[in-house]
Amino acid sequence: MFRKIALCLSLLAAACGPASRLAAPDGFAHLGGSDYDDRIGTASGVVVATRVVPNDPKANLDFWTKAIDLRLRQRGYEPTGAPADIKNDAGLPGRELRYTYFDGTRKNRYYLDVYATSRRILLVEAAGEVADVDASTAQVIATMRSAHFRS
Amino acid sequence: MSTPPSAATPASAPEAPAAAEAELAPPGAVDGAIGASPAPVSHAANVTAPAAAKSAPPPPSSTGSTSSTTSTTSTAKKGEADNPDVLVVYDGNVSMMVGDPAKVSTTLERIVDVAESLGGHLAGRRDGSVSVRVPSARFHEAFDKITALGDVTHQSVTAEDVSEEYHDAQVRLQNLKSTQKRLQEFLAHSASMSDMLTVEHELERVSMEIDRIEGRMRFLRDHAAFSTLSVAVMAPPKSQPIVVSGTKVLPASPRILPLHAEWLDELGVQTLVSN
Repeated sequence: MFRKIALCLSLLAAACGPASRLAAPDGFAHLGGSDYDDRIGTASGVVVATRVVPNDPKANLDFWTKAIDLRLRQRGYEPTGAPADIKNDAGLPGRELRYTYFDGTRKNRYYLDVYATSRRILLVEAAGEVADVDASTAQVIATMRSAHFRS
Repeated sequence: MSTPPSAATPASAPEAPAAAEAELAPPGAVDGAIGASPAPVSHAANVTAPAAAKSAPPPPSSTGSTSSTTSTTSTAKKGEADNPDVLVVYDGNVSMMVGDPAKVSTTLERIVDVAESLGGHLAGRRDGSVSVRVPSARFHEAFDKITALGDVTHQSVTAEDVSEEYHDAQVRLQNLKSTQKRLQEFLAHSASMSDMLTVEHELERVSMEIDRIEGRMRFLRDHAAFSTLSVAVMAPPKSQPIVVSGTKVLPASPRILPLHAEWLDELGVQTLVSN
């Protein structure tokens, strides 16, 4: 009977869960956030979040990388290097984009990993003040690479 | 040419209550947002600018606009004050022109002053634009005061009603707590070790889910407390010198294809950190 309860609860959780997930390392707390499937952050304000959006209009990774880059530059984001090819922990190929952004009071780092399938786009973002992100770069990147589609 | 939107009744609320277009002018829009229906009223809005998926029609005249938005403001304040269970977050975008480039900076500072006078604060500032957060209950008042500081060329407001999500979370929380209690009773009467382990595992999972939902409810309450108004202030460009033949001409900014993907505008530090 208890096994049936466990099975029912697990199926319910799978049906209602978010489309993408992050593995939260030590020092990160789950923050929630209406625009994201998963969002975690440190006490110093370094935030990593993931969400899935439809691939609409349908296009490949090159198109979306360029579209995102142009849009961010238009808003004042300054790239710190060329987009680079990456793979997440599940082996899904993607592209990483790196920027700095001054919000009027402080300079921030903004990292974005993009993965595109025929139907969906997985977006993994990380941001925080330059000093805070630089102090935990490896951890932030590892967390970003842990993002994956849940189904 | 924009046609005045009709005030919709609560019965015509949209299917997707999470995000909806909201009009500033018609009092009925606000009544709809705060009435028995959990979803805000949605109006068909004419597109007046490229990024205007969220645009509201421009006001017919400054006088008419002021009077209609004033009545909306007072209705909104009354309605929201009467119904504390409604959690609505507004997101406004305004573009305005001022007389000359020297006034851009002072106008931006006045916008921040308006927000602070209403209990809000600066959320971000970049050359020519500023983003402020104001108490949601005073959003319309802030909108009216700030749009009076220049000649508005573009304005849009979206209203996100998170009441339903909040109430759903409340119901889920109650159900989970009932489940937790039943599991605790099962655990107390478990006969075998394997049953005990299974129930404990489920108890742990249910407890984590309860924590998550309680955190989500706290977040929604805090999130709905403040709304965001982003304002871009521009001045007429200075006259350009005539380019003499043979002079090197700087390339124009790249043309960006407008895409039907609103998430592109949601990328970035501000949304990520303040969501």
